[in-house]
Amino acid sequence: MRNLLKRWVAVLMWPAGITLSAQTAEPTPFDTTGIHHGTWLVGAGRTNALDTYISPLEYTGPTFTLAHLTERGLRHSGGRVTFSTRFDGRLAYVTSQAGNHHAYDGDFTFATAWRYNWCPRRGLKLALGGMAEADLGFTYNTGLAGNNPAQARATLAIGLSALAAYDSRLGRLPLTLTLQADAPMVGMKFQPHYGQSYYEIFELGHQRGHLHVTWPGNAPTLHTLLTAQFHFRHLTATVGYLSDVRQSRVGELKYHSWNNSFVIGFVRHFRLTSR
Amino acid sequence: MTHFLRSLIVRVVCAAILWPSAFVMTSCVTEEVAPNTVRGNFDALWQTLDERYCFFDLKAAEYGLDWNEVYARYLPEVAQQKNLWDYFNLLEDVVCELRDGHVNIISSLGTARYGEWFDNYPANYADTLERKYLGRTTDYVTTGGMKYRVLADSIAYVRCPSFDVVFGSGNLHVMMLTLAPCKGMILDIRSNGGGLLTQAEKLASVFVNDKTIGGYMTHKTGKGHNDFAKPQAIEIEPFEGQRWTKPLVVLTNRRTYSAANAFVMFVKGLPGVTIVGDKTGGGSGMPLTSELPCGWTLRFSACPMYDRQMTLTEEGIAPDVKVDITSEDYRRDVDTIIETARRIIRSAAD
Repeated sequence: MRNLLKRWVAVLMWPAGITLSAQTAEPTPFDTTGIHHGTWLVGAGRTNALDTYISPLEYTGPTFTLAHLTERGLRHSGGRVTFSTRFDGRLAYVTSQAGNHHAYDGDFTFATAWRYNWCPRRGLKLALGGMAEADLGFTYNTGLAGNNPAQARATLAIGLSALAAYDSRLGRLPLTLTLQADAPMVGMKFQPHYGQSYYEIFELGHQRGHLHVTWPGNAPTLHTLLTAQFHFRHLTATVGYLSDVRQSRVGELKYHSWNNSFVIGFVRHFRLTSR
Repeated sequence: MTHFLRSLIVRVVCAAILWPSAFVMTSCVTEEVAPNTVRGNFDALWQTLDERYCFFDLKAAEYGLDWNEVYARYLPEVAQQKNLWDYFNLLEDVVCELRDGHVNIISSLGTARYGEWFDNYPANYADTLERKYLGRTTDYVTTGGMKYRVLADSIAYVRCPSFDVVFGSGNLHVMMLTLAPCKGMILDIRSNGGGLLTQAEKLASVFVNDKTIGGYMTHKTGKGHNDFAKPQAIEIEPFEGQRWTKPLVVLTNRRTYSAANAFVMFVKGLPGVTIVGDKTGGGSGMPLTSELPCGWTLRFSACPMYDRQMTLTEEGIAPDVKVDITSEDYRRDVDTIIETARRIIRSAAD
């Protein structure tokens, strides 16, 4: 256990060190073509959902994801700055621990990011920048009738976006391994008060104090996507793993939605033109 | 780019990916839940109510409820439960300590509930009497879950047995137009166990001509027994269709409960409105639900409502004219409460 802990600490502290390692290759050119690289992904996995407004019990079940990501280099920066967008739609059908209640849990997320890119060695691209994200989500419990069977979520956040991409080969097949992480740092979240009914909010218009400031201390959230892109002659196919961890602990209510999915998809390259 | 800079960039980007990942992985937001055991479910029941039930102070003042004492009293019995039925009955006894019809455990074995708020009082309602006044099917109109007709002395009689059925504005508008020539209206909500608060509000809107405060509502903001938001007004907007401005008598009994209790709260004290019958059953805490580790649903009062004088109506609303149906009238097929209402309307019209 102690060794495992040491390894973890070593991995985590490595970026903070300033020990130099050999970095000798020439940087690769940046993309100044203005071509959009759009990736469609579909995925299936598992969701662990908790929303104490509805129930103190965690629900688990299958989840399905559809995502679309785009990225292009901005010409005026010489391709060093990339602009990316991400749309995620996710729907899960989850079941209580006792197995007698079910719920639908979903999120629709739109995020944009501007990242500055470096190529410290041939085939390796690193990028770091800022992101803005809007998320609309819901949980609807089909078994717990009453005045609180559902919960709606809305968040706006800005944060950090980082990406590492490495060009390699699998035999003679070129491939790109990419790890991308988006972490909201500060934002706003809509949420009812601890014991408040939606009747009060929407029928009576009692709408004070529902916006809460979020930050990693009360809403540690991370979207991570690890993909391998296989470049065939006319097609780039993608397989990967998507982890979307959404959590909050505000206003005495706790929420988490841990989503882990395997994704497959393809990449399209296109250029936007104006008439 | 210098060797040092490149290395630094690699490390910064890796840090930007690794550190948030590590932080999130070690910052899981979870909820401590009691285990799914005999003791665990008892603890979860007690704790959920302790944190979310909204009438502890009222019940303490009314009959000395001490929720910690309830826990201590029942805990020794919990471990002795071997039979599921006995266990369910024990948990029913626990929720009945709150003396609140909105606190229930809903399971495959049945629904645990407290019923003394009506069991200990006269029914003051009989469907045979209702049939006597409404007549045959062809004598009355059914609309949106309500039934109505014009009685012989030109008084409108409207029976609203529940607020569970959604009636639309069209239903109300046509009903009010039809009954408009009458001297007054008897609105019978006896044994109306509630339903949708929005429906109670909608029906009340027929009897107001200006935006009117019907009461106040609040909710818990935290787990403490006294963690409440400032109560905010429930405003009744006037109905857009045909409204009622003549005398209105609302009939109530002990089973006038929850949303029906709220309806009485909305209209009591309005000009021309008289409440006749027995005290309502209360149920002024809008219920929310939760669940126990075993999957049983737990329902509890969560959002208290106050009348215009900021008095909780959980214990019921007293009528303006207290009337019980007499044994003699039951034998004669006469509804004492309806007859009292007719007299009130006739004297107001004269």
